[in-house]
Amino acid sequence: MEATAIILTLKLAGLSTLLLMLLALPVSWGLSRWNSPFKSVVQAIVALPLVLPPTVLGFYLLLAFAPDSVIGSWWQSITGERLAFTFEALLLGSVIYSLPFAVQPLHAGFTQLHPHYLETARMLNLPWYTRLRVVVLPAIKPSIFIAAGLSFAHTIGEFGVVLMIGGNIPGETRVVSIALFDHVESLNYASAHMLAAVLLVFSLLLLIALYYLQGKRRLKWNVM
Amino acid sequence: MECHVSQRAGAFALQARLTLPVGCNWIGLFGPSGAGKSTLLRALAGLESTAQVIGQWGELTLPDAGKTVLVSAQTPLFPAITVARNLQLVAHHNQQTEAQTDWAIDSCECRQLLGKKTSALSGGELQRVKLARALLAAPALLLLDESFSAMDTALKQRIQWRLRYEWAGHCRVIMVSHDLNDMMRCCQQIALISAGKVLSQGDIATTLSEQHSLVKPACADKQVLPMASVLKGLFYSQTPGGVQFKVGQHIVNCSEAAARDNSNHIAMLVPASQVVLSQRSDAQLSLSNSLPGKIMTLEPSGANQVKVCLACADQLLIALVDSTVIKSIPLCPGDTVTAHFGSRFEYHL
Repeated sequence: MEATAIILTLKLAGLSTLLLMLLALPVSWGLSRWNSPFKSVVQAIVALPLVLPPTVLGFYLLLAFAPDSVIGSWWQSITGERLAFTFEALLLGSVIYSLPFAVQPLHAGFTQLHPHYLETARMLNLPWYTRLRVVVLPAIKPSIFIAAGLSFAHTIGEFGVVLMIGGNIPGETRVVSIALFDHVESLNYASAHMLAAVLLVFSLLLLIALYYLQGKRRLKWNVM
Repeated sequence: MECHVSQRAGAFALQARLTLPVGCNWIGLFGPSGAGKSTLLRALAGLESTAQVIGQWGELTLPDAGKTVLVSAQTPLFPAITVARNLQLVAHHNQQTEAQTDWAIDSCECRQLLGKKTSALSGGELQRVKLARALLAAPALLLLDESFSAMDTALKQRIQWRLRYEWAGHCRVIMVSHDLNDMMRCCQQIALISAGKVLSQGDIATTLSEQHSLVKPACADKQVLPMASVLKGLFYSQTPGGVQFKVGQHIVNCSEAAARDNSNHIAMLVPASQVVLSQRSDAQLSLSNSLPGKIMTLEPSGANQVKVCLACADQLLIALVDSTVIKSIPLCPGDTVTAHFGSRFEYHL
């Protein structure tokens, strides 16, 4: 039963990290090139999950995923199933909830890439895919590691959003943090200790690895 | 044919009108720091989005960002890949053959640098690789912004000579340098730039002598070129330290470093402050050249100096003399004097 929760948590964290990377790379690239008064509005919206109580976000997501809402009914018409209290809802919620942790390190990485490099590459007639491969990706590779690591760690640590939109369905939405809460409520302290220790050690090791990488590459990321 | 470049950035306005003769392949830009030389090159390369460029140089219509390559401190090598990959990638995407690639690498003496990381290159090595990489982009217009400044004189001479005479015809070049010797070696014309405007343009000798009349007395300290003259003549003989050429019936010694023109024509830059005048023709000085000349004009120049213009076998030679000396040794227009000067001048502004 604990193994199911751990596997589900890792699956959720892995998939949302993958989706976040696909989403955050273009978003942070666009943000780093964009100069407009509206930029701060977009930045603020992306950063909202950092300051908002997870229950607030969870509450609105719950409303949005309800079968009578736009997103909920659209989902139901496509898949034939309701969206709320499913793994897919949890995945969507996690992506939104961890978005700032992916966008901010990548944004910092793109901002540090001096325009002279791309200017020069364009001037020397290198096509866009070569510019991406030779100039952009090597420059932001460490930022990608950090963004992915933080997104993963943060998804594992989420609780409020999961509670609101996922509930406690074993194998579907019962992640480690929920299982832990469940154990404490039913005064099953032995299992609670085990899960808490697993989360603590794993998160600590992940953060040590990220800080080590940051120190080695002198990277800047300012989510914490 | 000409080119007009304008850009306004804050208080600085660039309004440069360059003459671009069809038969001229190398043009040098000279001027004090902040005159707008680098901005002019960036605008020509299409890197200044707010600049307006319009012009024609032979078959080349400006701006043509696809065929223009700039080499400057702001065009870095790509640090994620080796020197060799930097060159290969550019050669590949510009359809350069293996022979062309080898030629560019050898011309810029980059062969032994190929295996290095870009971060392991010294300043001069970096400039060589950047230059080779620019050649591999097959530009029709090459813009060089202080691209030789970190190279030693002999190396610079070899590379400039190859670019000037082996590569001639492949592309046109506009070059910014603070080293007059670079200009002497490469440029057919130079343009004088100050405060975003082209003050004068022409061959080096004319531009050097003209600028003194363009600079108003009030801003004499802002003089952009050193006061100097250029002696020209036909090659006479090779010496261990350089070459000899003839000015009228007289032989002038010139170190290779001072000048090396194509075919049999030698041009030598003589800074006015390095010319010593004597009234006796048999004066023995430790300088390798002496030329008789007739004083044309004497005029005050700057603080306590007099500019003496001499005619040496139909060529203009300028000397700068302290005004106190003129008081004790009277010199008058029409007098014949002997001008003494050395054979090697390294001139950096």
